[in-house]
Amino acid sequence: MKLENLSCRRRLTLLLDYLDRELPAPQRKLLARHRASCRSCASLLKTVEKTVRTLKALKRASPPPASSRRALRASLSRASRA
Amino acid sequence: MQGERELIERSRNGDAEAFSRLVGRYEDRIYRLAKTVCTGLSAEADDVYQDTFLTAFKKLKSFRGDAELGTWLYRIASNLCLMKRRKKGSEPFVPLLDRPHDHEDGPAHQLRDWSPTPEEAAHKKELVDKASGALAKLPMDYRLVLTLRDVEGLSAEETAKILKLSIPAVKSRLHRGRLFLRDEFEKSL
Repeated sequence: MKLENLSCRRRLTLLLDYLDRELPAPQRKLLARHRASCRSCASLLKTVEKTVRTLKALKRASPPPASSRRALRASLSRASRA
Repeated sequence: MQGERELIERSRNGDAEAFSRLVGRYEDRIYRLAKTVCTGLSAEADDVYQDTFLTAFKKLKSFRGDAELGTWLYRIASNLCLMKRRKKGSEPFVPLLDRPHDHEDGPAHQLRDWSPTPEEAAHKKELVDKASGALAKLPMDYRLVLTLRDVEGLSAEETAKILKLSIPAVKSRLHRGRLFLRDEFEKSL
């Protein structure tokens, strides 16, 4: 398989799967080689990787406030008695 | 740690204490999803958080257990987010998402580095604001996919099950959403 011969859409799908580690080993190796030689694809992968890293910051968002936790427990207690 | 199945069984029989323990296992995740997808509107996020667990408690008898409890809760929360959007009726218009796939970016994206600086990484709030501000510009369908995949770390298959989408549809939204966010982060330089 030659990446250069693939349609843009197919190539993008492969790159996304590569980024998300969803490709079998042989295709992954092929993409890694391609990345090393293709500036455009390397740029795409690098910037999308950074985007994902930035998004992951949201994982550190604050947990529910204590007042919301208490309100939920009170609602559940009422629902269990209904 | 008490087994989840046992807690589910006790909850099905109306044991609020058992259900409260299940809530404790999942509430941070559900609140985070609600807050991220409802784009920072605390009141809406709080409604989704509360209603997810109240709905789950009422419908627990219909939970067959062929999916993980977490997946089921994510599904309830996602549906509640979508219902809120329908009620509101407005969505951000993002013409970029209608553009055909285009990745011939050239060198520009290589040269500009907007990834979190050590200072930003150290200031949690600024980084969270930056990410959630960019995410808010996307339609909710995209926010849900990006949140489940890239924030919560679920697989494409799990995300597809939760949102009742095909895997290719999840991947398409994920990729378009990421490219849009990348451009937004670059603009913020």
